[in-house]
Amino acid sequence: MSITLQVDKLTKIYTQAKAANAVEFEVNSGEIFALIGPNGAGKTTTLRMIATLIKPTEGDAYIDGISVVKEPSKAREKITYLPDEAGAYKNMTGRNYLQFMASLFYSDKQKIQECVDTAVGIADLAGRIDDKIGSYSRGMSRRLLLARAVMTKPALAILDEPTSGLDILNALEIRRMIRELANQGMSFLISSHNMLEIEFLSDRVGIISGGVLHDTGTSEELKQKYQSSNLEEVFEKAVHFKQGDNIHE
Amino acid sequence: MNKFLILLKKELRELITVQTIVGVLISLFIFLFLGNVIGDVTKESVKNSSNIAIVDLDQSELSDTAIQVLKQAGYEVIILSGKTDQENLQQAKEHDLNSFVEIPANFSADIQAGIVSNCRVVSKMTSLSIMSSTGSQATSGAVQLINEAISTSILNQSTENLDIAFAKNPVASTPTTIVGDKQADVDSTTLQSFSMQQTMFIPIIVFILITYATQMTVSTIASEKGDKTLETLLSAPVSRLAVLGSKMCAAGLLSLLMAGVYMIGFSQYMSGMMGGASTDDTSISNALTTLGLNLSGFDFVLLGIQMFLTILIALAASIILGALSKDVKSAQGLIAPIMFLAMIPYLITMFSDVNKLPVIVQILLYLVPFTHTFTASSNIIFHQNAMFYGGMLYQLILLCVVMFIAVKVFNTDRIFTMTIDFSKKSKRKSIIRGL
Repeated sequence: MSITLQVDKLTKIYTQAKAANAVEFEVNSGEIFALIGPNGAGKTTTLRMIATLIKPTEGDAYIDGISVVKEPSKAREKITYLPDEAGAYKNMTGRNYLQFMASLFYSDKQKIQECVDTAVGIADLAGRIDDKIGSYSRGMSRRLLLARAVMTKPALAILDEPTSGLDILNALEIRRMIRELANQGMSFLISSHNMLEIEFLSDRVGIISGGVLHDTGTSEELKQKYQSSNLEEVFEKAVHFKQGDNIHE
Repeated sequence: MNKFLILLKKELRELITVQTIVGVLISLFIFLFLGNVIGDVTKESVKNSSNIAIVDLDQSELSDTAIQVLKQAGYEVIILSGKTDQENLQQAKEHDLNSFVEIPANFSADIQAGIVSNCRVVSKMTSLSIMSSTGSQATSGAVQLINEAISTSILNQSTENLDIAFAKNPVASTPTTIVGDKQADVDSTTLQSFSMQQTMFIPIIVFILITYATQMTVSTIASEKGDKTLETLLSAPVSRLAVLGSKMCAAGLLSLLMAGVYMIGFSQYMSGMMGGASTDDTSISNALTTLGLNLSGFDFVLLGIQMFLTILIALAASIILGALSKDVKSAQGLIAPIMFLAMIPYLITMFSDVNKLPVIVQILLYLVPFTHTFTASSNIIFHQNAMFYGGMLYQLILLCVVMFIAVKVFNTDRIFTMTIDFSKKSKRKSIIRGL
């Protein structure tokens, strides 16, 4: 299994805070890797650095061997990024939005059309795909945006809180879509503070808190290591363990 | 507490923010500042309008009487002794006057012969502002006063064969307006108002464009930040400069379209207004051409370039403000500084000639890039090339600086990490978000 993303001691220091502190992990091809942690843990900062939106203070990340620090433009060709609670251009129709985004990746009209067709199929909005995005429900918008994020078949799709704010049915559908695409070989780096959701969705998990990545592994490995029944307990123990506290069983 | 009062209290709390209070205080300060500046100019004009410069070519008892009449009416009369109009205007300028009355050599002889005597009212035009014509109006008023005094005198010494028409108006005035080294026999006040009507729409368009372009750009970027479409866009394989450039070009093109529409609309409006006064149009138009007060095609190109520079500065500044705004609501508050910077020179240049204001006010005004655009048409008309091209150069340098900052903001983390939100009660202006 080849490595799609290699994160090497990524650090981001703001004036008053260390938002990410030497974060290191890998994402293999066709793998769903989830960063879990509470709000303000450093998930979004880490994702933004990998998505080339903000520059790391130290460290680097490599997508298919391309450095996000040294060659951000090339790295962007390999990734797509879906921010937390992202919107789309409300005056565009769903289809126009997909065409616009695809044309930023490809100049060949046929390739663009292929992307749009793929996305239309994934979004599954039926006739509403030609309606203005402003008229979409939250679930519809999220499906459209997820379809946009995967239509170009990126080496790595970075999804920040992909199901945040969605109802149970829409969240389930989005998770199913992500799983299907991963089975087809696409790699995912996702973040969430919903640890139970991640337990079912991800192949491997990274536990992050206070900008520090405390541990990584499969859900089963982590539960076994920390003798816990779910990831929430794993998180609590992993964070306390790193801070030198006793683990109370 | 009454539920209505509870609701009212909540509404007031939402409306009365630091942003609102600052906005109101700045508006108050601006109007106080404008009031002081315009007030000083008005006082100066009123003071100058009680001074009158006279060239007495007749040197007769009657011309002396005319001068005494003016003195008795409260005028401070300054006698000029130049040989040419230019020399006399130069002498008048030493007393802060831009016009004089010339009593002709045959003044006394003509009146005694029952012939209407024509006094020349010579005015120098240096600006199109409203206050600039008060001096020449006072000079014309002085001739009217001489006329009334001599008329009364003639009527008092009435003879049987008195020509009533002559006795009522024994003295007339012939206006001469001088611009640079050119002159035309037209009243400067009429010329000033005609010329101003022709060019007044340019500052209005500039003001509208600055407002429109700024609001459009700041709102676009703020909403892109708020909806996080900017993050999506900047994570796509497209350069940040292309994103920035496309935003500026789109706003610039739309502003130019607006400029074109307003230009056509206003010229139609102006020609409609001028239609009613068509009888004198030809003579005034001829005078404007003689004095070089018409804008040529090349002049319009220069004005267009300067207008475009102004819009680009406003757009680049808006991009910075939009990038620093938290959301669309806070972005609206951030537009205020640009609006005020456009409003102050707009109002001042409309009423007064900037070059006649106190030096400190001039410096402050010329530091505002928009002032150069508001004074551009006047600078071109009166061939103040150094002011025009200097202003354009200043705008170009400022554009480079603002663009540099905009590119820096767009090319760095600041576009995502920095916000200025005056609506927050927090004293911190810079809030790091999304940790």
